[in-house]
Amino acid sequence: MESIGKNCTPLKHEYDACFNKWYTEKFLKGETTPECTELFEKYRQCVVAAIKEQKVDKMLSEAQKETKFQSKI
Amino acid sequence: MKIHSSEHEYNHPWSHVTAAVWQKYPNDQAPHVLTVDVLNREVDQEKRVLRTERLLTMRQKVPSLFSKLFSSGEPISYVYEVSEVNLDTNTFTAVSTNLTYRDIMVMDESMTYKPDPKAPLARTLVHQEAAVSVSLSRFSSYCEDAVMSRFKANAHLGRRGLEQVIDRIMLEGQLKLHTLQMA
Repeated sequence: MESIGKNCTPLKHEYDACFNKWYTEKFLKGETTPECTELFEKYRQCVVAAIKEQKVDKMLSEAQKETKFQSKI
Repeated sequence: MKIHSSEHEYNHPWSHVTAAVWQKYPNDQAPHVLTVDVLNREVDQEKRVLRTERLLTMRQKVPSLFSKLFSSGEPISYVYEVSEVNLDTNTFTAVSTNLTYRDIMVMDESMTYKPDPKAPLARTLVHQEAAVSVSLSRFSSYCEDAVMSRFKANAHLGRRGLEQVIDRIMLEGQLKLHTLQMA
């Protein structure tokens, strides 16, 4: 699967692999300490830039403001 | 507003089903999904909840009617999804919504995965709901804009076309026009 930012795709694959492993081997077993955070930061920054470049950022932040999407964490 | 809801069963444990959700794309049944990205992820260790925000792009998740009327390019739709996996309640809930054409139409989907109480280690129940709502006034406003825009473009072409014909008949030396001017 590709990322919205073509150049972010390798970072996405790396992060997804790390996350999927953590999710099945740790999180589902109750070990909830987050991992893959550095990988995620690199990937996320790339995605944020791509979203801005493709002018999706405004419609995204509008939807994020809606109550049902607010973080309760 | 129209609402649709349905229930489905997977003959797999909840842990397997939820792990598969993260790896759902690509799959043969969904060639229209182009990209999937995680925007945010956080864990509440106390509540044992994983919260994820994702952005998906797809070819035409909104009715093709909209893309035919309102855009000339390849119809790409954007979908925003927020999900929570709760280890205490063994519930995975995801809500998603369209970002594209949101001022005319809002389509909210929600999926909830839980172990089947009758066979919690072997089966998973999923409840899916979709609610769609279209703003008629916005839709008609968009239609009017689209029609007017097409009209203006054609008017411009019409004027250019006539200019070309005038140039041509002048070149052909149709003196009648010249005579009319003198009179």
